[in-house]
Amino acid sequence: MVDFLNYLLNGLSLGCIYALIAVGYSMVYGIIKLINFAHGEIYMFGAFVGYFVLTLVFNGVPNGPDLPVLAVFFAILCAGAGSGFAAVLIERVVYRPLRNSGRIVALLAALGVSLFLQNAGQQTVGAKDRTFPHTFTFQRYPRSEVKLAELKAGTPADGDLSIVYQRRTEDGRIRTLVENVAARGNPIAAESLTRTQKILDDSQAASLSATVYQYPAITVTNAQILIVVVLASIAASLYFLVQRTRFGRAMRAVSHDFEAASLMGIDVNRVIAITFFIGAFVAGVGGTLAGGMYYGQAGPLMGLMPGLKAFVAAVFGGIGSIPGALLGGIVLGTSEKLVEAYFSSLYSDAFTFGLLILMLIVRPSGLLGKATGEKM
Amino acid sequence: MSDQTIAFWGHHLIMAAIWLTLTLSLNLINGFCGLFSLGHQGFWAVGAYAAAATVLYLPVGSEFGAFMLSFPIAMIVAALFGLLVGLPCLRLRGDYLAIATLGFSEILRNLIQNSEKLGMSLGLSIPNVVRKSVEDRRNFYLLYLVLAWAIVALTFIVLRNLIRSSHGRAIMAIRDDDRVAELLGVNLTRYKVMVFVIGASFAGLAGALFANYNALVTPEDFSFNQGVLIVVMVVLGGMGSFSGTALATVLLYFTPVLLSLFLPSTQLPVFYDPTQGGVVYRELRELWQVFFSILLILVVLIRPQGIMGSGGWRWPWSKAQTAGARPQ
Repeated sequence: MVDFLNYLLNGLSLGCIYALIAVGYSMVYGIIKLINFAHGEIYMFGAFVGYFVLTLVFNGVPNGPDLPVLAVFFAILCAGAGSGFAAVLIERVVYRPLRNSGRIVALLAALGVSLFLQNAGQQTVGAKDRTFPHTFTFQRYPRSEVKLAELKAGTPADGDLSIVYQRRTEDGRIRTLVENVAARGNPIAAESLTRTQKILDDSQAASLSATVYQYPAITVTNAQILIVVVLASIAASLYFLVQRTRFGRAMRAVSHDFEAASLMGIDVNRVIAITFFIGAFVAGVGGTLAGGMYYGQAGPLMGLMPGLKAFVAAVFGGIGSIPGALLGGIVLGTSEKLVEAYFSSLYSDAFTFGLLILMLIVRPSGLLGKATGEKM
Repeated sequence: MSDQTIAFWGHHLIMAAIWLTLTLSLNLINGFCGLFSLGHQGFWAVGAYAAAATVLYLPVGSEFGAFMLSFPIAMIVAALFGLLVGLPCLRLRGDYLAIATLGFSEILRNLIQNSEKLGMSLGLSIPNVVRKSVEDRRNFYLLYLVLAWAIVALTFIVLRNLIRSSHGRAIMAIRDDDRVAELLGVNLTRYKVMVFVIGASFAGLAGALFANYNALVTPEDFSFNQGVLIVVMVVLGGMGSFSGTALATVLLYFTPVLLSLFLPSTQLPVFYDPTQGGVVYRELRELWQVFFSILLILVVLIRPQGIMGSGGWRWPWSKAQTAGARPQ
């Protein structure tokens, strides 16, 4: 039961990441019926904007000291804006001229843009993944400090595998953290082990006299909390924007009937451009926050799998529906983590896509989508 | 010609034949029947792995026997997978079908990657039967060239005859309007599944050829991006046109080859990145992938209906009716 809750929490944060990307897929599909396959690359683009802002403006380095909170938020906002403008540019140059050429052609153009961004990324920033600058130290909550001896008595036994590692903090103290890790997976991606930690064996750990944090069975990290809070605030603002503002009404009108909306004096091009901007903004935020800060890496191909998975999430929740994308992302992320924990971490991709096919066959309109009556 | 030239062009002509087999068979599914599939790389992978497993594991006695058997076995296994994919996808169309087929191919890749018998993500390395039995390297390429292009010819003849038969009319009727087709007595289930099975089996054949020629198959060879390339070739050629598909395949296959061959080797500033020490230079030749993807987008923008449009190439004296797709 305790394990289950932990997996659920990890799944929730993964699901929030999927949801951040899925929103853009769903909004764009809802308005121009385009599966924007380049969206995963927009997520990648956002991660790199965040990377460069943190590195160049705030002198962030991997293994460096914590950056001010303001810097973190500034980088996230820059990533969102950068991704947004990139998407608007792509829409203007590639998708708009093809708007009346049929859906398959537009889909192809999106695949072309996706290829372009991957290739251009590999040639400019390099094909290798980069370690993201250190932004803030991940903390697990709730926690308590105990002596090392007490800890050694019990804790490592109740996980599948225990990793003991030390961290030298700025004041020169050595901290030995004990983490229970489920077999094979990386449920604590937040505690990316690539940073300063060194894995010690038991005898080495015993020889250290250090302050040790012992955690209760169920913990969350501050990064996970941040991701959930960011997603919740984005969801709330999107709801307000779509349901309560003039622009939102225009958006819904365009999505409902493209031609009628333009006849009613709605500037369709503007609405579509802004929709692209918002979707990409959210994905860019996801790129820096999740791809970069949470997983600690950025690379030109990082958008491929999360992009596909988020797309599955969008379809699962009902493509075209924003609440559907959020729900789909969370359901998908959670179930993926549960499958990894209880079945096998190797087959989580097969599970995800299997779920997609099942959903398409049983209910193509998704969890929250409107059934169109027409056979899909 | 030097050995190197023969090896270079021999390799590319063989690979082009493999791609042609793939695009011609996908054209049956996407172009003629209008079932937009994004999962052809999955059938290709199934064929390749089935052939590799046959050569490696099937106790036939002689290696050459296993080699010969690997082609029909790859076709049959791929056809079975075509059936497996075709049946649940019957209810889907358009974007949704594309996603479902993409999902199937990703599942396949995930399963292959985790199967120890199939070499996990490192892939399967198999004995190169032909390479071992011919002494001269030139003859190796020559033999495979003949084999590869014979397979292309076989694929083309079978598919063209299918399309020109009454079955072909039924298949195209499904694309044009499946409800009308059903009213006119076309058995939708039967034909859709048939199209998937035939398309998949030829992709499997291409896979067997690839596996035996390359003597190594890895999951990366059949990635999503490869599948995208197959689809791009078919759509840019003009859906439902043999000549268009063939032309687009050859053009798109050889563009990168020529780009990487003939782009001058000059250093080009591509990016400013202080973390890499200022301005980043790349050789123009290394940038061919970027040019290639730009070219792809440009072709889509300039000729959204495909290079050949939908009608396909017709000889001035030919009276054959067009088999092309109606513009949507």
